[in-house]
Amino acid sequence: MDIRKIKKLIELLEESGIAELEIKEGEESVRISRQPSAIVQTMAPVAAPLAAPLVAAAEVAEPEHGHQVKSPMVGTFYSAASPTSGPFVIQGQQVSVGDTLCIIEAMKMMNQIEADKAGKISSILIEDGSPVEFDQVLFIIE
Amino acid sequence: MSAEPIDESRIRQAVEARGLAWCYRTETESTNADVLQHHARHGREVVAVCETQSAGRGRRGRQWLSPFARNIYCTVGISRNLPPARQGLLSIVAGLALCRSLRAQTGLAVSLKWPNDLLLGGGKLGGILIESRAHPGGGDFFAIGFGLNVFMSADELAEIEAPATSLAQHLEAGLDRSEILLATFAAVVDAIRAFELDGIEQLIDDFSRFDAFHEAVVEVVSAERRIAGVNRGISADGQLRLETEQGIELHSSAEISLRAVIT
Repeated sequence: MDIRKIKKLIELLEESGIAELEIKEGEESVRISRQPSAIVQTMAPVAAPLAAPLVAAAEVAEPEHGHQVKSPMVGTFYSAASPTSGPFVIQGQQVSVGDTLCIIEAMKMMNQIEADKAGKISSILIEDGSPVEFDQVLFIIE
Repeated sequence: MSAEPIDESRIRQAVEARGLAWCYRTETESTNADVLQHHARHGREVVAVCETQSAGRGRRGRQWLSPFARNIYCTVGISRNLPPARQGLLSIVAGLALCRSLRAQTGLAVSLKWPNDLLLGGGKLGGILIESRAHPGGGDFFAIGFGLNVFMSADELAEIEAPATSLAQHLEAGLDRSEILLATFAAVVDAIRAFELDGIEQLIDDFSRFDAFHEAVVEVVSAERRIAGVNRGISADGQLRLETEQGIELHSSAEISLRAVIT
C-alpha cells in the first residue's frame, strides 16, 4: 500500500473520533489504532518487507520528549499571518494534522508550515521574525 | 489615456486553453485569497483577476494599493513538486517571466530587484507575493500574485511610500490592460511549468542580466540588521549573495536598496 495513502488514513483517524481503522485492499490490509502501544500495525502477506520499516519509522518519530516539527528550508520564521494578527498557535494549544503552525518566508515566498501530527504544542523553540536554518527544530508536539 | 475594462471573455479563453480554471471578480479582497480558496474547494490550478482589491496583499501585512480598473491584479495558482529548499527559485522564475514579458510588450527597460520586484526608471512598477500550501499527497500549490501599475497617475503614485511608477508614466499611447494581462499571466504559467532543477545555472545567469543592481554597492535590511556590500547575484537556491569584507553572505529575506556613496 502506498505510504501516502497510509499517511492520509492516519490523518483521517486523527481528525475523527474513531479509535481504530482497518482497510483491506486485495491481499494487503492495514489497521491503524489510537492505542499508544501500537500506532500503526500492518498485515501484508505480499508486501511484508515494506511494512517493517514503516512500523520502525513510526517508533522513531515518537521519542519520549515529543514530535519535532523542523523547518523544511532556510528563511525567516513568522508566528502570525501579519505583524498585526495573533499567532497561529501558542504553547499548550491542541493542534490537528493540517493546522497552520507558522510561516517561513524565503525569497518573498510565504510558506505555510502545517502540523504533520496531532497533539499539544509543548514548546515553541524560535521567536517571531528570527532567521531559521534548514532542519532547525521549530515546535515540539506531544 | 483612459482605462478600458478588462476583456474578460478573451482572457478566460486563454486561461482555459492552458487548462486552468478562471476566477474573475470585479471587486475582491485579494486575488491571492481567491486562488487559495478556489484551490481548497476544487483542487484545481486557477487564475484569479479583479479590477480592484479591498485588501491587496503585500509582504508581511503591507497593503497593495489597488485603485479600480487602472492596474493589473492577478494571481496564478499552480501545483509543482519541488524540494522545499529549492522552492524559493520559483520567485526568481516568476519575476524573470514578468520582466521579459513586459519588455517584449512595451519595449521599456524593465528590470528586477532581488528577489522579484519590477523596476522602471528607478521606481517600482510591480511586485510579486507568493503564498504556498502543502498538498496532502505530496507537492505544493503556489499562489503567485502579481500587481502591475499600468495607468496609475502621478497623484496616485505619490500615495505609495516607496518611489513607484506606472507604464503610463513612460508610454504616450497604445497601452491596453487586456493585452498586457494576456501576455503576463501566460508568461508566468509557462515559466513556472517549464522550470526544472537542471536549469538553475541558466536561471542564475539570466537573473544577473535583468538585475537592476547587478554588481552594485547595495544596502540590505533584514529583520536583524542593516549591512552594506556588493550585490553578487543569487545562489543556487535563490538567496541574495552579498559580498562584504567578511566574504559572501546569503540572505533569504531582506529588502535591498542602492546605497548612496558618500565620499
